[in-house]
Amino acid sequence: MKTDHMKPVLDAIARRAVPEDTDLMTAIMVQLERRPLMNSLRARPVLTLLLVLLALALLSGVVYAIGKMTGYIPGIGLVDQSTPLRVLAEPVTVTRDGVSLTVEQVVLSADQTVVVYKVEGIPAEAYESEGNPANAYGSEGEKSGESSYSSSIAVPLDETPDVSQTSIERSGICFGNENLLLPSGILLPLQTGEGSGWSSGFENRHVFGAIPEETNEATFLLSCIPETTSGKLPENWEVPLRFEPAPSDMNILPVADVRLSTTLESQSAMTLEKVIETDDGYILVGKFRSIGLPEHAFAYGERKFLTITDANGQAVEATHANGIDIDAQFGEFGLAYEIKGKQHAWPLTLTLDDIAVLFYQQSTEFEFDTGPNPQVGQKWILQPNAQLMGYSIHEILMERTRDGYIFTIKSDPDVLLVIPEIKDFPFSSAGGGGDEFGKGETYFHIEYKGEPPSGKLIIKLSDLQATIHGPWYIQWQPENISAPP
Amino acid sequence: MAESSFEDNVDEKQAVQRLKRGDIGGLEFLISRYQVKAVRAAYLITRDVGLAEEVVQESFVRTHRAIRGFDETRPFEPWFMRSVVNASVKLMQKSARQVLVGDDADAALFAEFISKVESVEAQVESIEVQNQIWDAMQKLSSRQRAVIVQRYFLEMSESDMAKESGTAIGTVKWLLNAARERLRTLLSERSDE
Repeated sequence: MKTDHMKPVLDAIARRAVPEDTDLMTAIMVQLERRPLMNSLRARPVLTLLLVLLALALLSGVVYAIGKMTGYIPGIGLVDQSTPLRVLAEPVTVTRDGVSLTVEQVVLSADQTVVVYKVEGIPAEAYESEGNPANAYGSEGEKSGESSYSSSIAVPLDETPDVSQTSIERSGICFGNENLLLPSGILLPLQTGEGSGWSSGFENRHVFGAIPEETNEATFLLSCIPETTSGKLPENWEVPLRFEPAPSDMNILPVADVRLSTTLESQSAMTLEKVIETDDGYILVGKFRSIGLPEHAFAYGERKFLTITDANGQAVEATHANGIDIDAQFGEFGLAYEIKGKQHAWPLTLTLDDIAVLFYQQSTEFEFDTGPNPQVGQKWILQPNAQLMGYSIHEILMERTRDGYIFTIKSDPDVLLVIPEIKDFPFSSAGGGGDEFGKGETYFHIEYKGEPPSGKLIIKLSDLQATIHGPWYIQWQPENISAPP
Repeated sequence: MAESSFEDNVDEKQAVQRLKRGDIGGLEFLISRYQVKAVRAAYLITRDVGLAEEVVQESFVRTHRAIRGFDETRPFEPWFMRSVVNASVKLMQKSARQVLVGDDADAALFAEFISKVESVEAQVESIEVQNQIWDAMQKLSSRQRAVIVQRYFLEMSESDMAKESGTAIGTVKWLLNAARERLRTLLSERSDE
């Protein structure tokens, strides 16, 4: 049968059964709202923030996005060179009330726009946040010293117009919404990024969507200075940008595929795929896949940073390479490390000791009775004797709050986070903290818009995150070096 | 896949970008655009509207989770429909209502059956023809129905099918030929009745 004959027949069959007004929107949204973890973060900024903090400790500067790995510009990252590159004509600084915002670099390629900008002169009092719950959950002190982040795992915290305000938003902390405004009126939102901060400022390398070839102007918009208290500093920043063709001598390093002959992979879970030779070393790019892990475990990040040793077992200095976009699906994460120097005892061995995994949608349940009229502040110690994906949940301290419950959960030491819910009573907001200290103690609070459920309840524990121990390793040496004997 | 306009592609790309940032509005756009087609595709494989809706709901939820890994330089529809087709096949395979496949192909007789109907319009409008094809479709294995749906309902090229499923084009050709052969046999039997 010809294709053009079969199509209308199948169309007609399908139309008879599935009407044009089929509407799954509500059902899908309800399903999403019931998801406890990553995929419902937008509706739960508190949880988002805490997971961001967890991610900060777990993840490197590797950005998990898609990109054509065709060239590497130091300070910018990988760029698609399928069309001529454009750059910022000149750095632009806007200063308001002693705070300056400088857009230092912009590189426009066929698939993305990378903006490097710096904010300086932020007074310490702008960060004053008495009663700011963010501090209570571990972010305090970050501004007193240097810090860095990679926002790739987390959704941005800046836009939550369609959900009820959380305690963090009510406290007036600015999240700093960023966009590139094109002359046509199109707003390009922030896609991903990374940055570092110090006491009075920060520098970000942020990635936006591609700007059409014929557009050579844009305005960088920043709603306010992130993490400062609303109203203390100028808001609604606008920085006009002008673009021009990249100079012909722009330093763009080639990205080479790693040939199998140069790697000796111990396990296929960890692979090395690309190498960039820089002026003074190499950037190695690879991937970890959820192969050989326990059932239902999805790897999502390094738990300990990868280490690199030479053929003599001596440590080789290595740092995370920023701006490397890696095609990582759910259950995979990218690895990108920069090593200094080209004279090493080859081959090098890259070792990953621990990774973090999520046991997606796996759960266990137990019953609990709060009694008829639980009071705010009332606590219960539960010993559920529960097992979840081979991990023991030893004890749960459950406390009634005005709007819901707080759970402090003691589990096996490798447990990083476990999400409690009350079955059949979807919470309206929630948040929690993972264990960074190997004690297996995590906490989570859930809140309801109306009266929290009480009486005979079914407590559901799900989406456990844990450390899985390796090691996984790869050996690599440059192609122009003779193979080891 | 049917061609879409430049504006459609821009809107879709922006929706994907919004979703990648965690903006649920991006997903709402994609649901509005693809839900009906997706349910129809799933229905052609599962033969059950309720199951088809379930599959598509779950596929959108998975999309919400997996969008970070989606290559924005590629169109969204084939990527999403692959998820719908795979989920439909998986669901059917669990139910074990399958028919084994033949291993050879010949589209000629299949075309001969269709040629008995006067025109394409008549074929489409003919409830009898629709019923015959639908009956025959239901006797295919879920995997066979899936490739028929991909090729003829979603109008994917064989190379796109191979790309999206991560298999060799030869495998796709084989699956299609086997599905067509089975369909041909079933339709041929009916037309002789």
